[in-house]
Amino acid sequence: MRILVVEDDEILANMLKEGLIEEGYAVDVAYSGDDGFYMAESMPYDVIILDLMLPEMDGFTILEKLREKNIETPVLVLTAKDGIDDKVKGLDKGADDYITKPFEFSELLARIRALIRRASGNRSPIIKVKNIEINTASREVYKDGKRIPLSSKEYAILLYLVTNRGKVVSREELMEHIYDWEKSIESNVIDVYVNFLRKKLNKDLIETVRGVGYIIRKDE
Amino acid sequence: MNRSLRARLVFSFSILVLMVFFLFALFLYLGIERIVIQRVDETLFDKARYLSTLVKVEEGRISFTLSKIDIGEFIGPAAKSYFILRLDTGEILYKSPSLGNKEFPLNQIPGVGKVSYFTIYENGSKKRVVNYHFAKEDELFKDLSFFLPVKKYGFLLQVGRDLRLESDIIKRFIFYLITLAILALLFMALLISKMVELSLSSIKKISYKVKLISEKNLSERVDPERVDVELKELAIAINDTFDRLKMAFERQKEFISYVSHELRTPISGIKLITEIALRKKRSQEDYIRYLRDIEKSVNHLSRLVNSILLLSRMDMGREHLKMEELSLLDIIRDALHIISPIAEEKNIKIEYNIENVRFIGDKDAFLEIFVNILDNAIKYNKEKGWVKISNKGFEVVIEDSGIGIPEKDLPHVFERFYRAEASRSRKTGGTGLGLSIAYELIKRQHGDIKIESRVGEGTKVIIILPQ
Ligand SMILES: Nc1ncnc2c1ncn2[C@@H]1O[C@H](COP(=O)(O)OP(=O)(O)O)[C@@H](O)[C@H]1O
Ligand SMILES: [Mg+2]
Repeated sequence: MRILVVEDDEILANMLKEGLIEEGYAVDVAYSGDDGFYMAESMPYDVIILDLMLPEMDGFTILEKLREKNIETPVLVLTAKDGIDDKVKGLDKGADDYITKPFEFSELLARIRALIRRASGNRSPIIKVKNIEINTASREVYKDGKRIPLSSKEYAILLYLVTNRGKVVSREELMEHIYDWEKSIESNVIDVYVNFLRKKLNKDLIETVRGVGYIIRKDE
Repeated sequence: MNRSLRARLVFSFSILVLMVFFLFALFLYLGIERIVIQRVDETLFDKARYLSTLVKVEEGRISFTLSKIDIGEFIGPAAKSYFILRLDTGEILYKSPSLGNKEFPLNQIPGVGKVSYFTIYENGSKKRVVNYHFAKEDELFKDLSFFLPVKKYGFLLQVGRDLRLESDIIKRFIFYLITLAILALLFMALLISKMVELSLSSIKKISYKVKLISEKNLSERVDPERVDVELKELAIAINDTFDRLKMAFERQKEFISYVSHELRTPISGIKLITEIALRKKRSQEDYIRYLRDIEKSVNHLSRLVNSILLLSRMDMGREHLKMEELSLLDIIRDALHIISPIAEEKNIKIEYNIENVRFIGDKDAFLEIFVNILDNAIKYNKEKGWVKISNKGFEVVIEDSGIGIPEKDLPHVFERFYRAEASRSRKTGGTGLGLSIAYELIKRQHGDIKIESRVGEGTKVIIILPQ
């Protein structure tokens, strides 16, 4: 899952990036409104964390322009104001959630997970496919009730495929959602991780669609 | 004290009406009394003349006979008319029985054929009396006048009358007048009260609107076209006042929302760093990095808090400036002392060429002004750039070879929290308050500050010292 952080305070933005990467997300940072808008419209992010007071283009304007362009990426607004005015206005303009500065990092993580779940149509944080169970809140994966430790990239790929289950996902799409801009990776790395996952979990779980990508099928 | 406009108006109008009415009544009363007395005098004179015809002198004998009709009028206690017939020497010849034992005083006797009138007051009642002086010739000698000189007798008739009836009429007249006055007064009071209410209704309309204006709804206004012309000015003045209030209020609101954002962001940073640092065990380098970031944020926060506190003290008029004679050179040296470590770090050369002047101002305020401007000149400079300080009398120029300020930002740099885009995204540690503090401090001391700049070439700040 890939997240865009639009925040002009460099210390806050960089720390958010560090924390989110540790949680297994791919993270890009924009320090100005213009950059933020440009990145949001050019990359398929799973969540955008958006500060409202920004240089160049403010958060509300970015939101408005994104929704005008039919970019429906879930947006979590970071507000610094007490008034509910901003919250209401943010939600009106198409924000999906908001959190007030200063915030708890764990709360922010919970809200991000909820946004991703909602976007994929899942209600519960626990997803079951075949004999595999994924707890998206604790980031733990179980096979037949037994916990299987996964690396963060393995988990990220599994999570992306599972949230999009029933849909063929290309290697490029997977890469876009698993890696941020700083890292350029060859696409066969994805194949390597997929193979690890097949070995650790269930060799029928992830199917290869020749020439297109991968799919996790929905349970009948 | 509860002052009521209506009560005051009603009271003063009533007094006025009362006075006018009183004067009017007085004139009317005096006029009517005169007319009545004139009428009485005429009838008295007629009576006197008539009575005088009843006086006969024959062969030196004087006779006076009253007819029956006259008796009714003059005799008996109920009679209202009285008369006394005297010789013009004063000796009483006849007295009407109605007079009893009283008699009219004898004051100056008019000439023969003439009359004079007077009024006597006795125990509450008034009497009007006419003095009629006439002469009669002896009837007998009249025919012999050819031979003998005619003997003439002079008489004085005093005919009087009670004025009871007339004063009754006048009394009643006065009573009517007073009743009328009271009624008129009540009516006037009512009328005035209504009128005041009517003229106050426009004010009520205005005050109703003003009541609607509150902290939450500062945009409500009185429509000056919908109140009376006389109150239009008041309506406009009220609207102007609220416009100014609203502006001040909104500026304050904006300031607070900026403050809230600017304070919460570094606090969020610190909180996030500590939370993430404590999530698991980390390397020493990581901990040091985190602490450095926390240090930076805390430094920024404390600068911010100091600036915000200074500005709000100024807003509330609590920043007291201590005016004393200052030397420009001393101030600049002190400022350079504070700022030179930062300049050295960035390899920036600061030159100054000052012909010293003395001026009146607050020392700390001017130090703050110069430090803020020099700080900008260094912060927004290029590596190995320069800063020059010079003056022409009271005009001090601080010039730098820095990045300059774009034309669109230039008019705003004195605004609170305003920062040109370039300085915002670059992490310069600024707060956007330095120039606004300098501006407000210098304006407060009746000096001035101007800024000129060209992108890529540099910036020139001109300070006019107070004189
Ligand atoms: N000497 C200068 N050169 C270039 N830009 C300047 C200079 N002085 C001020 N500015 C611009 O004006 C803005 C406001 O200045 P200031 O109020 O001192 O805030 P800051 O805390 O950002 O220095 C700065 O952010 C910067 O964009
Ligand atoms: Mg500054």
